[in-house]
Amino acid sequence: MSKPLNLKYTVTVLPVNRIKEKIRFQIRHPENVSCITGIAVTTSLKPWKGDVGLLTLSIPGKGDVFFSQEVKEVETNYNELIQPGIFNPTPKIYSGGKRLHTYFDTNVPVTESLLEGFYESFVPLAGGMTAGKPIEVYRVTIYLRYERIKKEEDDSGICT
Amino acid sequence: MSHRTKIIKEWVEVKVNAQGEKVKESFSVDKHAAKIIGIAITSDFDERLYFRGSQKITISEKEVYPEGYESKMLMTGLGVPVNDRIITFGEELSPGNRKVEIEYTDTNHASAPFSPYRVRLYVFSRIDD
Repeated sequence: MSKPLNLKYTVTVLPVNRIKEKIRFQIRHPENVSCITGIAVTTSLKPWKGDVGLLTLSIPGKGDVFFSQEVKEVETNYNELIQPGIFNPTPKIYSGGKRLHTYFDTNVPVTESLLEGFYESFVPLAGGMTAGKPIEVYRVTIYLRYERIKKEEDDSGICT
Repeated sequence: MSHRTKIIKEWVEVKVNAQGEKVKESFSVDKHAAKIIGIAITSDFDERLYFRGSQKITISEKEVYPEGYESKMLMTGLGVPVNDRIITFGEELSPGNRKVEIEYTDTNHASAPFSPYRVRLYVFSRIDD
């Protein structure tokens, strides 16, 4: 059997349907992973000024919050010089801009099968209802990057 | 194929002709490729790719990015230096059966009204001496 990739990504989508909604959720870790090495968050909201929401992630049962961050969205319409780079007041071609959506590097050992999360939306927009179902205002997408469990003969890796 | 730099750059293209469409394409990496080192993704309409796109990418039947992985997470704009535009995997991948597959999904977004567009996935490979 061929060796699996060292990194594993998961994608979790949270639909936000109501004004200033608060969402509790859980993410199930994939099998055979040793730790979370990166966290990234995006939204599907159109350009937005100010914070979109607040995301926290914690280890269940222990209440250890290992990640807490305001979620923001770009404030301008799409501009290929600026996004997916970072805003530069005097943009130049090949100026050394960085990618917008990168992972927050971390090192959180995976000891439980789940992690718990809480998202609070600050967006004062309502989606409404159609056919008895709520209309989505926007989505929050949470990316987790994992490192797989190493076999005994390979002790490289960042998880301790 | 670039012998001078020993990096092979290949690409596969998907065309999105209908709103909400899911399109799959694949190709085989060059037989001289010893390791696959990274990818890049572009479009003829970057705004649509940024707001509407997500894709699943597999290399040699191994999932590199799962379904629902937004294209904005893989895009690089003109403000990023050219040599920084390759997305690496944290390791160099063996080509295996050499098959690279992309399943691209278009999703509606108010900031990017739909009209047909194409998405190109670049794959960068290294030739060993």
